[in-house]
Amino acid sequence: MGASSAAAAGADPVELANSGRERSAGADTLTDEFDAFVRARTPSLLRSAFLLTGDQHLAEDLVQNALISTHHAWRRLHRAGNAEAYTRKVMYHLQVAWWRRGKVVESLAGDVAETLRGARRGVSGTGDHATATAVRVTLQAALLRLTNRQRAVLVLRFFEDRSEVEAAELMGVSVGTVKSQTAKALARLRTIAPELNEFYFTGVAR
Amino acid sequence: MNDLNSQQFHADLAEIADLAMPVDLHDRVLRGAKLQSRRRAVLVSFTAFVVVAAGGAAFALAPHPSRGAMPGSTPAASISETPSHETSPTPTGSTPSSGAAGSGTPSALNASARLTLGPWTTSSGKPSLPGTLYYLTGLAGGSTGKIKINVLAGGTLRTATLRGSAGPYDCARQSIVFSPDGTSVAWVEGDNRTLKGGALVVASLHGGGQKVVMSGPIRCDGGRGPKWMPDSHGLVVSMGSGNTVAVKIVDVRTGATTAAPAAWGDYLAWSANGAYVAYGEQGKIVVATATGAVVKRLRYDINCCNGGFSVQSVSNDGRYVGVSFRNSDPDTVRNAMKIVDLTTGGEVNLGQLPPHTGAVEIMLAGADRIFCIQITSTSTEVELDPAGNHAGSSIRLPGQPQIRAYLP
Repeated sequence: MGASSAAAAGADPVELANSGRERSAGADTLTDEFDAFVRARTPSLLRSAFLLTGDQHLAEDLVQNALISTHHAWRRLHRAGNAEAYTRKVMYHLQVAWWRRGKVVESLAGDVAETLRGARRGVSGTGDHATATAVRVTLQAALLRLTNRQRAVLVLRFFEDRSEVEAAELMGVSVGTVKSQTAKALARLRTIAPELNEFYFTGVAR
Repeated sequence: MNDLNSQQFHADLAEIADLAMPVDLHDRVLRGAKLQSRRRAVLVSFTAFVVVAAGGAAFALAPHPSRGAMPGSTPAASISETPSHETSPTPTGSTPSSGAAGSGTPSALNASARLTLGPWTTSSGKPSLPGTLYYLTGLAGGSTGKIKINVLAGGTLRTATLRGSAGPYDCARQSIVFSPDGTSVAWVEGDNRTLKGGALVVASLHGGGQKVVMSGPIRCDGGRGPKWMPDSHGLVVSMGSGNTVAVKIVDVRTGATTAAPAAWGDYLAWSANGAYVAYGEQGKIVVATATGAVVKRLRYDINCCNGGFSVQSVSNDGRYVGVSFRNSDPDTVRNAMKIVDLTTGGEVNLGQLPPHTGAVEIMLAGADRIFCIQITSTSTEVELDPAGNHAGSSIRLPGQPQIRAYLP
């Protein structure tokens, strides 16, 4: 509403102009704070997203979509002060959705398992570092063979160190589901990558 | 879980996470948010336009005394083409709800289907396998006989006939597929020689009726026939005529379609647990997870036929893929003749079975295997080779039934 129309309506144009400036200043603050939030939290979100997707571009897409949702709800989230929790929740929901189209991530699990076996036998000749690298490559490939939900629960529980209650809240499922999915995910991990057992399931640290 | 070395696990997960390169998404997020806002605005405007246009049309069609409408005159009504329900395949894409049945089982009988399923007859005391076997009879080559759908479980055989005319080249003879949850069956009605496709029909296996999900053009030739998605709500279909074909996923509840992954062509198979999908791609067997992540690409030569191989089934762990030859004619190849172990790249030695003759039909059902052996003109022996150390079993069915699904 312009000053002239406000005057015509009988309102104090000075007061309206001031409140307009306040609104504008408030909007600027909101925008600035959203910008700051995006720049501050993106690296951390990307790390989780990379574990969830196994691919840089998919991870970027996932975080971007979650942040777009956050942008739409920013006024409310800003007031409530739980923007990051909301963003992560959206991110996990997007990822856990059963079908996600996009670029495929190729992982020749059998080949990397052989890499690990080769490294353990000392084929690479680079010792512990080769083994550690091979373990991570094998783990990364194995993670991609889990279901989205299984992968999400492992990332939440063992990468983000979330409690079962927190993980359930973020995934929008019951605590019982988190427990069962965690057990299933670990069991599946042991099945599809038995060469990892000695590193994670027997208490042997490298 | 108690014996998990969680510290080491966390450390390795963190190192994998470190591979993520830091990127400033700020501008992309703002652009995306603006784009979405604009789309919403356009959608709101379009909805408003439709409401106004509908109101205007109603007003225009209403009798108006001042226009002096002639009694009995009918305004010419033009029906615009219904926009297809194309939705984004991403999780953010919403599937339009048309108020159809909530489950994958259609509830309404649609009179436009040319073939109708039923009624069901039941006979007991039949030898059966531990699970449920779904098979077809009346499909012998060149046959014009009635197609019968059979469900055999627990000694009870339920049979229903597809009533209506189905010629020897009718798509229904080669396109019938059973949903993974065992509730529905789908088929295409058309002629497999025309490459024009036909209507997609889904029917309940429990007497719940049937409906035409899409009037067409849904293809049935070769490997282009419908394939169920693991959720039993979606069907992978090839739409179009001639060489112009688009592979889509149609929601049988609503008729909404989403584009299928570009890599999906004709033959493809989901594992029974829905974890893996297998298909052929430029002479390679490809196995991908449900998320689309390719876990294996293996160059494979079936070494028997000019047309190469077709993927028929994949085991629950994604390790074994059942393959068969690929027809050069419009018939659909069903069931595998060989099993390929993707970890070794070799074919599985099936013992006494003759894998190269094609006289054996194989189906990978989850972790189990089904073999059709000793197929004669009068009977077929169906053998279950279960996973692990469980004892196998076999039954003899009359004629040459086409085994299409087995649920343990």
